[in-house]
Amino acid sequence: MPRFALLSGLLLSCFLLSLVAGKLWIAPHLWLSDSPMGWIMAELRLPRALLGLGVGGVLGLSGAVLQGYLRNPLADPTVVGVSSSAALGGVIAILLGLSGLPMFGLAMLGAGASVGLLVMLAGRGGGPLAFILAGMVLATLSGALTALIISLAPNPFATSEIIAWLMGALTDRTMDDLSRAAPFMAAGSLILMSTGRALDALTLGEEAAKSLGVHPGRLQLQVAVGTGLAIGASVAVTGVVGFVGLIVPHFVRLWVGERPSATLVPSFFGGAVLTLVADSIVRLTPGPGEVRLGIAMAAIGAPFFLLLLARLRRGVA
Amino acid sequence: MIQLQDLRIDLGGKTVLQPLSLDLPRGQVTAVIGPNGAGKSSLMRAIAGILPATSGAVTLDGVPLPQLSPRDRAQRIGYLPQNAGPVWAITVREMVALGRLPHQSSMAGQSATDVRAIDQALADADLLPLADRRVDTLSGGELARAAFARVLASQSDWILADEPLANLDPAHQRDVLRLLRSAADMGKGVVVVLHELTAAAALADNIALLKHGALVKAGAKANVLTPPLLSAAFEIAMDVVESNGRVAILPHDPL
Repeated sequence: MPRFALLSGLLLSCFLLSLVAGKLWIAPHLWLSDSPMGWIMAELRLPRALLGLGVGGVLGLSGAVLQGYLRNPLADPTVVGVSSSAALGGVIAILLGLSGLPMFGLAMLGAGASVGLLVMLAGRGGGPLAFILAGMVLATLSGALTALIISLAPNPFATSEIIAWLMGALTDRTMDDLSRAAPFMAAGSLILMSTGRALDALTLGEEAAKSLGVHPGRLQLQVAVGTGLAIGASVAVTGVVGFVGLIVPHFVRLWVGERPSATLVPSFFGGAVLTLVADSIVRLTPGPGEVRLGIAMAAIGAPFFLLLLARLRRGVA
Repeated sequence: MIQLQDLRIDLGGKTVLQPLSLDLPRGQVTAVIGPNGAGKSSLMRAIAGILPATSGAVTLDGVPLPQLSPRDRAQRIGYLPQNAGPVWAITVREMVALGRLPHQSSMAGQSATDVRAIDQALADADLLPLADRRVDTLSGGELARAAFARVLASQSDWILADEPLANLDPAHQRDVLRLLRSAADMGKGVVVVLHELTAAAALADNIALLKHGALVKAGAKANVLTPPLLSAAFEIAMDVVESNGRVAILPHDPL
């Protein structure tokens, strides 16, 4: 398991970096001290780093599962509508002046509704193609409703709050946010991890997978519910963070090969690493504010993806 | 023994297979032939248990297929659909290992039995030198052998293969035909869809001839591979030519 050890080491380093780095660099001997530094560590840095780890992890994992399930390298949580439906729930909460637990609940409700609609629209035992089409319908619809709510917002402050939240960030998240989201992210991750064998069988196509004993309806439900729980909870506390779910599995495949089940755990680790690093970088941006994580991720992600594309094209040529 | 009893299949409100009854014995090769759109693939999917019977039943040793768990069924019936190349560039060994999925519990890795079965299947399909190659680097013939080895690795009692000779050159066609023959000689039941009628004549013990979703005739190959039956089914005059104990089936008219 040298691969696993390497990943764990990398993740631990990035986690520690995320604790240390920021406008204030906090040396390890101050972490537990009874000082403002100790307070920043306990109340701000630690929940933020833990959330970064969890959110990044589920984004990477769900990206790997969805790419395997849909047999499409461009799939990620945003294309099946779960992210945008959870975001719609969050936006409604902001419009109603809610925050904290009620906002989390509304976002989870959005994610849950999208999972229900997804399974209903895709049809029982429906294949991946029906699933992705149903997901795109949901993503489009919830995106339109979100835009409608922004346009109907009562004042510019609400509008800017909604837009800022939609961009995704780990800033100022508390232990309360973490403790609400963590059980859902953990449950969702376990369900997603359990799809590995079935995803491997799907490599041979739906017919062969069925003949190997895969139950298509159950697999679809696992993918939908696992994504709904994990991504719903992550969007509920951080807003929409893109690109992680899309790019991480590609890098993982270069390293561990393309068998879907082999990419799941490394994609969780990889997503966590990428998110922690990106979140450490956004804290270092000069000036009083910081760049939103969602924006930074897209800015980091696009060139990386370009690199990957260039590599793939060389491979094909 | 797999038995089809008044099996009928409707797809999208249309009957693709008229009620038919057929016995498929173990230790023999049954070839399913017929023109395009005759319902051959639907029949194979029904026998594989992945397409439910609209009426009638498919039974395996007397038990209707829907009463078997998917896992149990998958352990006993191996199915090779058309165009079975994987979408991800996994290695040949990883592809063949997929045949062991029905034998593995959800979290455990490969057992010693699994590894032996995979090695044996790789050896039988002459793939050991290619075991660590990625499937996207294989030729069409090598990929067809890898797909076949995946079915062999499951060590199922039954092998169902839908057009396993498609896109293969004569040498590789012969390789796949020999693998099918030896599987039947080892006691497995083999059911295979073939468009190559001469290959069917060489390989099969029994033939089932389908047309327009109906069974025209089934039985020992000598009784089915006759010019009148073939000519009527394929709507083109056919000759059955014998030479040195071998049979070739050819269109009667020159181009």
